[in-house]
Amino acid sequence: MGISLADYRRSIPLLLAFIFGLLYAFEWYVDIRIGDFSLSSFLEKEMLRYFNAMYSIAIGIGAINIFRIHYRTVSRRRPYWEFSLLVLILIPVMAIISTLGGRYAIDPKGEVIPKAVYDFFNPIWNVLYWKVMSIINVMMFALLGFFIISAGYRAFRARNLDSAILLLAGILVVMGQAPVNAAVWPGFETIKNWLMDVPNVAGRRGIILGAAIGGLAYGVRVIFAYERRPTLAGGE
Amino acid sequence: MYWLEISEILLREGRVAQGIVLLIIAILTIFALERAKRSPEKITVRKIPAVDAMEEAVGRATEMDRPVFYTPGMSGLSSLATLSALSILGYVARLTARYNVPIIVANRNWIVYQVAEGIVKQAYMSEGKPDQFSPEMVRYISSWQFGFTAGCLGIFQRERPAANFYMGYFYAESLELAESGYRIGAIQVAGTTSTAQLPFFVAACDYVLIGEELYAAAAYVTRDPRILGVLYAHDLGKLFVIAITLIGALAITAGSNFVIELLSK
Repeated sequence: MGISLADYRRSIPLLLAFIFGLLYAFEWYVDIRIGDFSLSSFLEKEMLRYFNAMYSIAIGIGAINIFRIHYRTVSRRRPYWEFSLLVLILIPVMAIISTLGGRYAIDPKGEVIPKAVYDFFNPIWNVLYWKVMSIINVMMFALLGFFIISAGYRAFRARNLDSAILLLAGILVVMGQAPVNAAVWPGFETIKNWLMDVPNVAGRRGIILGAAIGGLAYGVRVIFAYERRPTLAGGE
Repeated sequence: MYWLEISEILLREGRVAQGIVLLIIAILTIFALERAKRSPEKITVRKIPAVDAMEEAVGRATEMDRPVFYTPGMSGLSSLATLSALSILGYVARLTARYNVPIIVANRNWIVYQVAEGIVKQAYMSEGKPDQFSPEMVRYISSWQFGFTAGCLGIFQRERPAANFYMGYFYAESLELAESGYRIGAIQVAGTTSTAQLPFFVAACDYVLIGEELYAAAAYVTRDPRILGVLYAHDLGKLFVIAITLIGALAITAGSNFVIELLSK
């Protein structure tokens, strides 16, 4: 009965999760130095290098996934394929412009690549990054305001006792938060502060405490191989 | 002797009590898991409605002939919430394989994307349907927070999933995802440990795993009584923390700071 490749594929990730899980947890509490060797700096610096290497490979695989999905959408003329075509064109364009003229450009001082290349691409990168991408990002964030109104409208409907209490608490917090209401009656602010500092904080701390203990138990499960799915070592 | 002269092993100040608490909870967890292994019939688990709703949601997607959408959140693999979300993904992917309904897994993190792909592939193999797995099911969207959000909203509009799962750690995009999912009429199950985003999910989703329930669900979905023992460990850990809190409250009331001083060591 030899050990098959599948056995190694299962046991190696579990072994690594066990060793590094314990090592990182141990290092948090105990500082070990032997001569020039320091466990903390080994984990922080050396292991970070491995992580960065893995991350770089992962970026490449992620990019391949994007191209594969959008290429298939275009080639099969699926609905809205035109947007996928834009993605296929713009990703390499932006990558080239960023590499030659972006904030982390490959040679901004012009030591190898002529300086004129950086000077040409940098203004284009500035426009695309700060005047297009950042603006779109801010716009997506601003949409949140409208979503809060529509979700709030549904949440604050007094259908039963619980939702009536929620509605009342919501109204009181809004009244206390708006300066004009505090000017009408200062008591709104006192009530708002109490609601925010006492029941709200108590509820949040309960959830945080429960989640911390749950997380701890989950971590122990992963380290000691009771939970195998995130390490891709079976367990289905 | 030479080794001792050049080595230093120091306990980090301010973390000793924390380490002892961690050790106690770790021992309680292993004790609970081993106890559950020996006598699984003694473990009774309360129902978690959100977990029971997962199969119902996938069943609904099957009836409507529309895909299932799943995201393991915004954080990387260093977040326990993400790991738990990936555990639950294994369960949901098995359900979609069983019911022959496509799943779309949207990722923000490069590394999480690859683990998610492995988990979905493994789930389809476990169900004896490896040929039904397609690499297009697991997608890397964008590492930009709102780029990722826009990508997910695009999937909602184009592919109209009938069941949406949001598991893991979320930030401001939580409400944009959940509200857009509500608008396309999807049944939605969320789970997060982020207290700032929980109210948004509660307002816009049908079922929510609140805080520790996210970790409990990862054990619950296995239906394996031995793993379910970890829920018993959660309770033991909570009892332990409640006891410390009560002792601390009584001590402070009596004018003593000894619990605070002990925990600060």
